[in-house]
Amino acid sequence: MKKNRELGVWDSYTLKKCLKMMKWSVFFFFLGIVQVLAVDGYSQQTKLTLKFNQAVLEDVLNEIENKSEFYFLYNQDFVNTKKTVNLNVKDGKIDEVLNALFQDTEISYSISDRQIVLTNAENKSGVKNSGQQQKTVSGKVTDSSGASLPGVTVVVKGTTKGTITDVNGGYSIPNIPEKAILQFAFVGMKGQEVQVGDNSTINLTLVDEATGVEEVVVIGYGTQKRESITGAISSVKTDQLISSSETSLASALVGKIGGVSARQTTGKPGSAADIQIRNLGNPLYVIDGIQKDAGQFNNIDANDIESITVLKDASAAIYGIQASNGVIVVNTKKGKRNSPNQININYRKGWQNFTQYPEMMNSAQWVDHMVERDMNLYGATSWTREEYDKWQQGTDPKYQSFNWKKFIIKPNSPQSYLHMDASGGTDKINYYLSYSLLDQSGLFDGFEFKRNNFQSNIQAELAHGLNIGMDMNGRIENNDGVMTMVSRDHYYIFSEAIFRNRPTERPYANDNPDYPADNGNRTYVNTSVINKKKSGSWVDTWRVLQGNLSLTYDTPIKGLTAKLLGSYYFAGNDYDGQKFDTKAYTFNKETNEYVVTGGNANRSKLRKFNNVTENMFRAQINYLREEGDHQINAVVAAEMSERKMPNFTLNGIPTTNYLTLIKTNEFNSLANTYEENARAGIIGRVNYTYKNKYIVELSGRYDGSYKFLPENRWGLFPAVALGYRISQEQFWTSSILNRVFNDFKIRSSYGKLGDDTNVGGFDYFDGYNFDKGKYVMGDNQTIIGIEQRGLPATNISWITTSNFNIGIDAYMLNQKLYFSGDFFTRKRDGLLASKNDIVIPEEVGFNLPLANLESDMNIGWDASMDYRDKLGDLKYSLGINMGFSRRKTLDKYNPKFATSFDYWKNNQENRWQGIMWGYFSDGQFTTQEEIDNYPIDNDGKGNRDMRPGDIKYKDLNGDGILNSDDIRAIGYQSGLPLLNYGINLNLSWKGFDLYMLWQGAGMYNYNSEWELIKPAPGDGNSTAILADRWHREDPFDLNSKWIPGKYPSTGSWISGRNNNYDRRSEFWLYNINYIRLKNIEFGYNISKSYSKLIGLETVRLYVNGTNLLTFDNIDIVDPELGNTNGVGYPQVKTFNLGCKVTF
Amino acid sequence: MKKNKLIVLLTLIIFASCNDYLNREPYDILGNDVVWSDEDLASGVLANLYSRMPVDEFNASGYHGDLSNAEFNMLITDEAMWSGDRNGLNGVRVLDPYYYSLWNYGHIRDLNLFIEKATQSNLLLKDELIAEARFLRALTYFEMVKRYGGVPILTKSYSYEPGQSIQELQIPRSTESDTYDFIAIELTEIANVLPANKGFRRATKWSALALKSRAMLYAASLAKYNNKMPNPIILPGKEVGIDASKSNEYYIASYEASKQIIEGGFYLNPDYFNVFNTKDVNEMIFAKDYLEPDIIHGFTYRNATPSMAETENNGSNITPYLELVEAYQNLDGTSGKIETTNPDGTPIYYAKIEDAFKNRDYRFYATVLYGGSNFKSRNVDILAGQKIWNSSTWSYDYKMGMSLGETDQLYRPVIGLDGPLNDKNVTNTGFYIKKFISTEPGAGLVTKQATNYWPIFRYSEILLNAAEAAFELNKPEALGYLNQVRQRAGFGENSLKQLTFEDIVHERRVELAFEGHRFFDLKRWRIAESTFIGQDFHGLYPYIIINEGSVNHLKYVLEKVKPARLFENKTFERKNYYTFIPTDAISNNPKLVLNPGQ
Repeated sequence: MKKNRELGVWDSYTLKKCLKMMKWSVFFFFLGIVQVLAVDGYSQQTKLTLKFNQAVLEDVLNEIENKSEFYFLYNQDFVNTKKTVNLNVKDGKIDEVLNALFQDTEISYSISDRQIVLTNAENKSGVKNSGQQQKTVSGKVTDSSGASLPGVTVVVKGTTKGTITDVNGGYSIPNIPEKAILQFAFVGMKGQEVQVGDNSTINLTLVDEATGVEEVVVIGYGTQKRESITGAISSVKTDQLISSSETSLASALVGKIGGVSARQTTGKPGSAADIQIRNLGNPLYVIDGIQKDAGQFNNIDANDIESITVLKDASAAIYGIQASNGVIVVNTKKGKRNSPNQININYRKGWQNFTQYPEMMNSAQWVDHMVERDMNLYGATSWTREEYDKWQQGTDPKYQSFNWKKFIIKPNSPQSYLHMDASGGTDKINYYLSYSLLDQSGLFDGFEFKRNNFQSNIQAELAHGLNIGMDMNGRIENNDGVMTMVSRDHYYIFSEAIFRNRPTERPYANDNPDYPADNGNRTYVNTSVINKKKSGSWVDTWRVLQGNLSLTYDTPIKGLTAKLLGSYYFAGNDYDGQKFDTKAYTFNKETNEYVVTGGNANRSKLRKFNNVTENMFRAQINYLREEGDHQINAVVAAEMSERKMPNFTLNGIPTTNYLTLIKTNEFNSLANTYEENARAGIIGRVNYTYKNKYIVELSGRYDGSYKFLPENRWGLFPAVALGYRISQEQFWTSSILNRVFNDFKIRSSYGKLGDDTNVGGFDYFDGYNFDKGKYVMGDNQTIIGIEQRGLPATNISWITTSNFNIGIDAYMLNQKLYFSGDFFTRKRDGLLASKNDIVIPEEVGFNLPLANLESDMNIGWDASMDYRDKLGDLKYSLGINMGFSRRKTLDKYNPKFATSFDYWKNNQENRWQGIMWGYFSDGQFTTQEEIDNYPIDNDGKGNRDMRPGDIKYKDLNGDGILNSDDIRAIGYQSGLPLLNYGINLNLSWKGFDLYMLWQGAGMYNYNSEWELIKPAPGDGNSTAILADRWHREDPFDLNSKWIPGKYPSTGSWISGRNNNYDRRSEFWLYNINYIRLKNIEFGYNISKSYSKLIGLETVRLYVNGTNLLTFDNIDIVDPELGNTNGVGYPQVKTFNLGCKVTF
Repeated sequence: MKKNKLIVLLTLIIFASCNDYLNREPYDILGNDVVWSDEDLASGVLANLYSRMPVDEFNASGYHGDLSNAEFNMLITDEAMWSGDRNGLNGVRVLDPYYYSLWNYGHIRDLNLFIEKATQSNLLLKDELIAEARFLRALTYFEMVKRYGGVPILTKSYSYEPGQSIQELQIPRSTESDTYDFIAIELTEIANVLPANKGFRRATKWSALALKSRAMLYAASLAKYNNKMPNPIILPGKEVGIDASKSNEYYIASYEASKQIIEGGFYLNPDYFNVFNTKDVNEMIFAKDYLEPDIIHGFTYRNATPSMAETENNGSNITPYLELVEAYQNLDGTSGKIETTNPDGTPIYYAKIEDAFKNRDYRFYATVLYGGSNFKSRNVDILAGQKIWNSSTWSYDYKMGMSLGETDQLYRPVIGLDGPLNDKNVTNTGFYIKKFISTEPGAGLVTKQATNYWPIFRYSEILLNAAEAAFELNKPEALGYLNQVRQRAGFGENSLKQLTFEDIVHERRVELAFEGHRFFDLKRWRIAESTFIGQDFHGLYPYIIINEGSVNHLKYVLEKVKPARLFENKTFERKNYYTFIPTDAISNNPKLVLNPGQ
């Protein structure tokens, strides 16, 4: 085979070589071997033995290529490979071989890694008769810090002629005409073009990828220059996401974008923050062009992300159904064409602890308040003073406190993360491959989360202008944990155990670890009984594969691109849980025996198989053209998607603890369900920019959903947006304004979209539901019930969302300062409600189906600013973002009120939602005398259950009785904060860098309830804060004097007794404000000159931490904790050590 | 340009195929035509209607939270207290007048639709299917009338078209007696269509007659005893209140229905306990049955004694009162009052706790577990504490414990393995329920649960109905029916020589204990107020004597106590005789008349 190896002609040979290299890369990569593969490493290590006599040079070169990984690049016009040569080398290094080979020729060579470029030494000046002045251009490429940049692609524009910079950033290209333009490209850097002109030396500094107005931003179904954007669109790039040790992508997005709130109510292994855009609800995720859900988003590896764009306003409408709460567009990394192969390995190891966890009482405190409770409630107690005193002293070994919290929580629980990727490309193909492994242990023993991710993105040019792409990602997610005795969340049981176990009880009978103790009603939370060995375990596994195949054709019409995209998604969920028979013991001191007195025989097995498959198909045409003053960016697309969800659940009772498979006669129940849905839409958008100044964008989407009857099925939802770059006007550029504002744009958008959430799948169907109720109709004969459906809902259609947004984008102080601010409203019309003016008597036994009747609106603003500059070697940037959003009800269907008070209190129209209603507390009773003379009936029983210390409430209507008429708005809702903000700080100095993200929120409440405030709930332990309470000097003596404390006395609350203690009131309410150091990372990049010594391109060592500091005004629990009873798995603080290398 | 046309064409094709693409079929919805041409599917619809019948069975149905209606019925009366979590259930001082709400018209609509659609169908067995649906409809109306008095009677399905007048959908309440009459007429008609075989799972001739027997007895006693009240409860439109003159005809109707059943070949199971633990077709006329693996109930695991519990953390919810225990007579016919002291006031020292419960009505041993009683080959271990002789004060000191099975330094018991304790999931009175606790192995496991049935109509109730109706009609047969029931309980033949109203009340209380009759019986006889008001309920706590050197050392004394968790007395107010009409029903139908006191 004759090989045509002209310099710059990247033929099938180079493609083959490239693939071979890729194979090698992948090989090393998956082995995870960090070893010397460095630039000179190979050439230094490889030894060749060659012997030729009167051979053709070309054959010799072929032989070297076959025997090694070296390959030659040369131009046949200049390098004569037909000549005959002699060679005899034994175990020679490549330079020895080449020196011998070319010693008598005009050929000179240069080695760059495995690439050997051959040039004609005599012809170096580039003078060759071609009718045009030609010369060799050489130079050096550096980055903005002055460090040399190897691997930069240098190509003569319009040709395929080019080279790659060497180790020192140097390059040299012969035979370049003066008119030529050189293009410089490098991953992560802004590409540059330089006119050759008279220069024979061109030194260049490449700067980091553009951020200003020139930046290209991913938007719905395409990309757009930031300057032409009219919507409220924010984006983050990969490097902003990966400098945190968060385990889920959602958590990594926290605090980075104005108007995006991310609240994390739990830190369970594998859990994620709950993301909302402008507090609108769950957003839609679009990953590599495919509509996806939060689960898929959260579990992408952050290192695989190229960029995340958040479409907050009508710009999201282009995605149609499910996009009414905004869209998060994610693009994964792709390799770059004409870029060197690069391998990254990142490993970190970390340790986790809870941010905050309530303290529990010790046995002295607990016994004290149990005695007090009995005395307060019953006037007598079964505790003797002798026992009481022993517990208070705690000297007798039998009367010592046991710290269950310490026993249950495992400190410094480990977490590790490994990421490896390889990327690169030739002019015909580019690839990105990655694998990562996350392993996170729980802070309770036996719980763990493991995730394996891979990503494989490959694009190749099939023919001129026709590209094929295959993006695949997959993951295996393993959650496993302890199966507890009760059917509740197993993490919850462990949290509950901290609250429930009495400090007077111990986990093992007679403290013998072989015998878990029977603690009566609390055995189910005794963690010596509930663990993987004794009570069983569960494993919940997801196996997910997503493949997107795309075909892109750059048509001969300039700017017109057609694209076909098909995607298949498969997710298989497999749950395997087994509960064992358990034994709990009591030690019989008389006989010295351990007697089984508790535990349970609840052997059971649960197997669940859920599958999700999704198919999506889209045909799309993009048109992008700039012609003089006119810029047009248009897209037309049609798409359809379907989702199928088969589900199997099996239940059985295994014959023993030791058998894990279910056989027929061990069967208990089987459930089989199936759901499917389908949606389709046609999309159009055109963005037109005139003179880079006036921007108008029109878009529309014609959407169809399976949820509606054919006649209500389709809806057209248009949107319009305008932008005005006022800074481009003459008066601006010529005025002082221009000195401050480099760019200033006003933009506004308004758009509608259709929403089908909250509409039942088949509400329009008449007939019968299968499998509703079962009945034993005869001996051993169970008949499955079939139930009449209600009236079909035949006229439900789209819920229409209207988004309005107005905002500005400004670049100031030479683009150092960027500011963006938006005000928005989002109105929803056609929310489902029933027509309450048609009052159907209950006796006829049916309800009118829901109809599209009501409306609401979210109103808010968000803003962000970013300042970046440098002071000598110190580069820094500071970003601040904030967002506020609140929902109000607009129209209710035919609201009715009995009285003006009823109207005042219960009218919802034009009123903010998320109001916390409750009582105003009015201090506490201090003496019995005060209670006796108190005019307001505080407990509904004439205050006969009141004691000093109990909470007084304000009788706002002055009728002497506390009831619902005295309830007022006492605060914001609990849960979702209305105000969210984040502060990002980046500092870098020489090889050091420091990143900090502070994130905070306010305008929400935490209403502490149940376990957190109630003494001995479930007769267990109590939070230690309750030790500071009103109590008697001598708990056994009802006549002894009251000692004041912060909280009411024990026994004021007991279920059903009176509701004074825990009325929802200001007393137990926290109006929360917090700010936390969400992420901090300190890194050091070893100087390239050193890293090269060990054969690595870059080496980065870092330490980082998550949630290390929190400032808040709630002293008992984590401010983001979801459960109002304090029982739960709050967020964790993590400290990591890591290392990242590139070669 | 050519390209553009292609694009347009492509778009059109995609759009056209999209509409078909969006037509998706649900996998668990069946069309009307399919259902009504298939016998199996039609009986599936009937199975659904059966599963929804409003009987107060073991499984929680929602209106008392996680508590089943059967348990709620037990603890709302003078039978038992609540010993589960949420002590608030013992604080029900005044019964919420909306409790027992059952405005079950969704079920009525589906029954009416079933009857209409079955009538139009060509199904082979349609006459029987229709009769079964009518039985379920009569049962639902009975469950409503016994709560609310007269209710609107709908015998066809309604629908609404936009623009239609709402008034024709507003159906007023029938009178209380019309509602009972409707039930009686329906049952008489279908009794001849339904099969006359035994078998308690589906409606038979016998279950129709049993419902008639009970419904007519209710109507009759309401007619009689309401009007005997000093201030009878009556609404002007007679939605509540039946004329006294109708009582006789209702007693006769009840008596005749009962007599038909008595002649139908049913007989009493010789072992009272087995009535509830076997599937007894001879005594059970109609029951809600359970069958593994799907149809199971948790009564056993929710109410097992701690030492027999098969499931951790699910001890006992229902604790019988001492008052119920004492209602069971001694076999010699004397009062079953438990003696704790001698006539001179000194305590009785029992060698064993069970000695205090000897020679009683057999039904007592089948209904209640007490200290020392043997069940599932274990002895129930009840001990409330020690009474330690204090020689300095010359009296006994109490030593109480904190947890089950607690012992003192000399390993002498302080607390029994089964309590009592002032705690949840353990007895608070010293007694546990035995009736309905399944003896099947594993019935107390949450994973397996129990399958013993819930009795709705059983033969001994029919005998008692017959006895009561005959008594009210002054028929001499009354005594015989009652003695038949007593004979099975171990009293011997003809144990009662003379019959009084109190005997009937007493016999129903003990024979039908915990079966959901007590509350409604007390109401229809109009003695609920007098039964509850001022009544203190008690437990019986055994203590072990620690007095070395005394003959009484390690003997037991029994003490009547008021359980600490029982912190409110139960009361029953006049307004509780009729459950209030649900507020939503009232606001949606202006023609509904409110109940007295509402």
